[in-house]
Amino acid sequence: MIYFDNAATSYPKPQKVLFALRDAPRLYGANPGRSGHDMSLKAALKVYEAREIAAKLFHARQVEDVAFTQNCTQANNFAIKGILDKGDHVIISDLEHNSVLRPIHTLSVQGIITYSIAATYPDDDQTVASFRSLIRPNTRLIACTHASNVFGFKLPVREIGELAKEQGIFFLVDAAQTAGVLPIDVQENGIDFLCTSGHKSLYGPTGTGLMITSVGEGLKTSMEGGTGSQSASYSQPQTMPDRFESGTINTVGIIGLETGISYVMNKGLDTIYHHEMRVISEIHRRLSEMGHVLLYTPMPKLGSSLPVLSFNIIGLNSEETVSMLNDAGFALRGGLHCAPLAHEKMGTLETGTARISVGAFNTMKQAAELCAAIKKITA
Amino acid sequence: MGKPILILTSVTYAIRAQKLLERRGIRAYIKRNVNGLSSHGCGYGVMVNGDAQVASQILALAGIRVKGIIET
Repeated sequence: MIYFDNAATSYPKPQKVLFALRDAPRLYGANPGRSGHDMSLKAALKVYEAREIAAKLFHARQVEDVAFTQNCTQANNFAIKGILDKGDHVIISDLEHNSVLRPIHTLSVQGIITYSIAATYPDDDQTVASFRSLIRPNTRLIACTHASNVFGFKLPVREIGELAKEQGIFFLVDAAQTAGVLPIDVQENGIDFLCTSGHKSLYGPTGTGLMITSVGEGLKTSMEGGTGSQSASYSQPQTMPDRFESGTINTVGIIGLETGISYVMNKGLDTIYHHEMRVISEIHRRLSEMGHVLLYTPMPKLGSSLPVLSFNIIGLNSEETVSMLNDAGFALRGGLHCAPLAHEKMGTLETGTARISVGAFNTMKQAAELCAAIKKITA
Repeated sequence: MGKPILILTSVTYAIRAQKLLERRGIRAYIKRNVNGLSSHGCGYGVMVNGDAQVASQILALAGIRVKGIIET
């Protein structure tokens, strides 16, 4: 099986990550931050190291700003439901994944908030103007994806962050697709909430995610419980990261995530991104020469897109296409990719799209083989 | 008289405090199973080999709140 579904989760994981996941239960098997014995403290120190490296990668203000979550969706939910109050207004983009859209839409249906959807454009200035035009006196949050998980379009988060700061609005970035691929500086970009999965381009295992925020202590919680700290109190601790880490944390997964982040940092984001963009560009070039292929993503461009593209084969729906490719030995994803807004925007809500998403381990040879298989289907 | 233990709010803060104090040349050790800590509700302590007030000030300047100081 040749894997091109890295936007769902990266595969394979680096060898060091596999070793770390194998060894973690044996070396760090105790409950971190709970008991006072040596193994518990050793596990807590290892988790702290993971926090440190995540803080470094995203330039968090301090280590405590990093809370581990189960995935990006949980991080988005914690941030969105933690910061919004009755009467607030939110702006999201027209490329959002359901992990942002659904919690916001749910709050809207419950009569708690209202929200607007900003159109996005190839021109960054036009996109920022679109967000600006929707700001109201009660706008409390701008929440947007860093890049579309379906079409690979990247949003100008630095400029949107500047707009949010200028207007005194909180800014959430869903970096599920970009963390580990593009540099993200939460302080420089004015990001109040950086939410991401750990299992995509950070190369950790599934079941890991991050919420990085400097305003965590002021947020409402949607899950409370044991934190191993301030246990005499009936109330959830205010302090981060405990405020959002109730219950025993996923030590093994976090150790795997730390190793994945180390892999990314050692290899270099720039190296990974340029490699992936070469592979996706080659795929795009080959597909654009095939008469029966509909490409929805323009030629990938460094700095403004991700190594992700969507296409369909004329006469087939996307699920049929990926099923035939599966039979030919290729792993892709079809359908809506949990992002109905993006499909409404691109006119593909009825058909869905077949998505190719490249990871650090894909090769040019694999790209050629995939394109040959697609060509065979179209013949 | 034993060495002072600074009481922190969580294991994350205790580790950060220990690392910071070590960087400032103050030997520090994370403590949990110590008489007096449990009254703070699963508190974590950092035992310092030095002046507790100086250590507290260093931590305060870094935004790390010390809940109290106990002597072992």
